[in-house]
Amino acid sequence: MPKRIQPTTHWPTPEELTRHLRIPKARKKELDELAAEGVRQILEARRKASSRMRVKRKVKPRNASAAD
Amino acid sequence: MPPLPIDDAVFLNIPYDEELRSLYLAYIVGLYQLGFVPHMSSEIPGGARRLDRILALIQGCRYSIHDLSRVELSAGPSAAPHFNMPLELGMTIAWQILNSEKHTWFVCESEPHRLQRSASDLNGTDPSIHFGTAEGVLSELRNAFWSDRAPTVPEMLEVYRFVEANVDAILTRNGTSNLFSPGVFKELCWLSSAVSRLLREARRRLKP
Repeated sequence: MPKRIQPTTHWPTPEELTRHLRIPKARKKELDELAAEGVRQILEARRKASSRMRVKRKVKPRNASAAD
Repeated sequence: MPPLPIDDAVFLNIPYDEELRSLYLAYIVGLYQLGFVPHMSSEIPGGARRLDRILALIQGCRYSIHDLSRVELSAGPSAAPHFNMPLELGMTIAWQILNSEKHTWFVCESEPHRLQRSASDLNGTDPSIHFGTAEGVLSELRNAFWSDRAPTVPEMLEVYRFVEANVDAILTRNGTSNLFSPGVFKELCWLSSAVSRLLREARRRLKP
């Protein structure tokens, strides 16, 4: 007799399915610190880029067309 | 009946191939920046009921992304085609047909028009073409999950580059060279999530 497939009665959520994958608290803290440093670098780079753009706009000659 | 899917959960069905490292990172980083949480079958431990649990994961996710760009044989002496992606896409399509309001799926490719040859049954489906680049993946993710609060693609690339620069340290710490191992995936998710959250907070502070 072939084995009859039983219908599923429990439907696990993604959280239940991946519950075994927990990052230890200390490691989470390290990664949070790394993220904070990354965000600081990204915001600093954006600030520098926007101030370079401002300088470029200032030195643009008065008679330059909009297309320039 | 299964419970309603989690609205921000995205099942990521992509090739586990070291050569596609940049695409893998771009999917993780990009989804977090758009406010979504990626899930992969590598998170699920092996076993006889693995396919059941993969299906449960698909059913628990409101969205799924299926990258069919790896049509070549895998590298190495035991070269084989990657059949897992079409298999999991087939499972997803069947689930979506039966529960149309519970799931939305997207197909990604790196080359335009190739899907018509590799999976002609999908004719009529418009795949997102990422041209095999991280920038392409971020751009297509932004198109798929568009919102007026979405960061720009150059902003998303900044975060991608930061996470990419830290991958080797995460691999070393986990004692593996396997980028797709569950521990590495979880740490990449945590880092991407933390950076995205901090940048969102910074953007809110800057806006009057």
